Amino acid sequence: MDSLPPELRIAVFEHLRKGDLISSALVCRAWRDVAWDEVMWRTFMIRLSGILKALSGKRGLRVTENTNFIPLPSNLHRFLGVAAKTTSIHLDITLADSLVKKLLEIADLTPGKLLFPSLSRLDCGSTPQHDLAHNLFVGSPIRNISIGRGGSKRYAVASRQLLSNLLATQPQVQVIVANELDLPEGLGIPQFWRLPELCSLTYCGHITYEEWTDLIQGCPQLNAVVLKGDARGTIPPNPNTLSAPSLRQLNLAEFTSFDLTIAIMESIDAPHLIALNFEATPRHRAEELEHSSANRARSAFRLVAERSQRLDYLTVSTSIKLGVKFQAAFCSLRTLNVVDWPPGYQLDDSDVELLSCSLPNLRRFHLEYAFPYLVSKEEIKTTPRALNSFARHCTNLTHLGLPLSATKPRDFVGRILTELVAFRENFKHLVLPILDLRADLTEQFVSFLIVQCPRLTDIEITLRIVDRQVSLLDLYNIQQKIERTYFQGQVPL
Amino acid sequence: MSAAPQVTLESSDGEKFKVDKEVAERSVLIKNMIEDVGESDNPIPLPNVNASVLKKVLEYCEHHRGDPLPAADADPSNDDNRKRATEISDWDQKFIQVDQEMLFEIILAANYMDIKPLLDVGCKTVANMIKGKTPEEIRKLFNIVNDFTPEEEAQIKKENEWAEDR
Repeated sequence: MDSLPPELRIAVFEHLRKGDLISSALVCRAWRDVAWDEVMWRTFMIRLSGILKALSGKRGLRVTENTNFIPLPSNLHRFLGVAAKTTSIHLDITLADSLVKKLLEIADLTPGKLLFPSLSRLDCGSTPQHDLAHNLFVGSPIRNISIGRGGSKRYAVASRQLLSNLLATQPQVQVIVANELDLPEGLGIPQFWRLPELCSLTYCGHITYEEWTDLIQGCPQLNAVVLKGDARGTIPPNPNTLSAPSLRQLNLAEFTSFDLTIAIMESIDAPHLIALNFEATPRHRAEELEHSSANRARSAFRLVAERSQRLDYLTVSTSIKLGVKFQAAFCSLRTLNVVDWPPGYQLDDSDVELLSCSLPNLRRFHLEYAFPYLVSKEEIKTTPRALNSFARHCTNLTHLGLPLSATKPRDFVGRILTELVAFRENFKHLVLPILDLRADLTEQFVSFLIVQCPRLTDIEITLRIVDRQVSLLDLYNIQQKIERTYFQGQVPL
Repeated sequence: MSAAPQVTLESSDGEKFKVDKEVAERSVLIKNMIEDVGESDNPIPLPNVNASVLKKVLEYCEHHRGDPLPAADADPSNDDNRKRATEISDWDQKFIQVDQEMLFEIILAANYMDIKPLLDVGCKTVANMIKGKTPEEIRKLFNIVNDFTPEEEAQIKKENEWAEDR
């Protein structure tokens, strides 16, 4: 056997079952490496979603067209030739002041003439821009600005400055995505708070409660807000009710300050709110979770839900302890995402039972882990029985993502299949992160699903990978294999 | 009726074997060589295979001369072979009853000469030898020295727990 090169050892191991492979892995180091690879090959993370999509033949790659603005001294004239028609710009280099000057000089704009008269979308990427960059866009009808992804503090300062300069000349902006502008106090961008046409703001940076109220009051069109970053300044203990008639989506899930999150939720009166994301416990503060703060979060949430009456989409963490108490607030929900956080608050089958009977209109349910890689199978408390709860109470469910635990994979698959049969007709999208399920069972399972769920277009199944790198080539190969096995004309998709 | 066309193969130790072209072409390597250089009287050198192994390989080719050839573009990762893991025909089983050294020589030769069915027979035979044995029994069988530290061994056992058939 030692005389065989590794590729021939693999050829031998291909004929072995897993038990024999494991014995082989224990023979010696050289055998271990080869046998273990074969084990990996078979017990593998399989992500079928992309394949299924591709094979359904109905969805192709979405290609977004961008103008990559890379002006160089040698091509400025050519660039200026298309500037008038450009509607979307992605800046992926720094516009040096000298270059901006040169461009403006060549363009020789007569008063009232714009360099980019059609520009509606400007993505400044994460590159730092110099003081003059905004002069290129003065007067352009920009509606959508993205700025500051990643980068160093220097980048953040420059991006923030550019955004300030842009907003000073762009009162008609409707969408702002400002990420990673998290800087010390004193570098605010007050222009945010008085943009009459602003519809959507994603802001990662420090914010005071006063700035928040200025934002809501100063932007009457605002309908979507995502706050990341943290609070600064003091938060009033009993803030006045803040009317936000246009607000439809509020996402505070990645906002670090628990107190400001609660203050915002307690004070906001948003009768048209349909989507809410928040976590009752900030992810970095699990240890500080106290009974009283969980209670505060619960009552704040109930206030929001009662004022809205039409909440359709909700993302919360399990620490809020959802249950029948929220029935009234929940009955309009069509999408519920539950983040399993913090430790000790896992959903179990009886939680799911309670939840599902409060959710008559639910279409989509997704249980996710705040830190999926830290979850051991012992911590998963939902079993195939949970599927049955959904089947009985949520008859409109089409999308389900639910981790399930099992000690005996073989029985487990059988049970899932039994529970699923009841409502398989509806499924379009199924995510079952099944830990520790063997690859051959997964294949059986997938083939069953494909045949039994006629509407299914997406499946994601995750098998556990243990401590070992799997190469991209391996992933590609197994995808190819599944594609061949299941999708070559046999399945009526 | 003229005699079947023949070719001559030359082993690494210089021995010449005259065989029917149909038999030699069970080997994809030889088939391609003949196609590339055209038929000639010159012997085809097989520098990686010695006479005793080549004789054995040709015995296999002779017996299977009429079998349908596997499709040229047959997918190597196809699972069919694995599923038929234990099935080796009676003749093949008898044919492959050789000592270990010869068995591995045949596998190497089948791989070099690109005779897929023979390679499978060889690999399945080795796999059958491994089946159901403990690591220690496998070591004894193939005369392998255990080079694991106790820690490494414990580590693999631990890692493998999850993969066991429970």
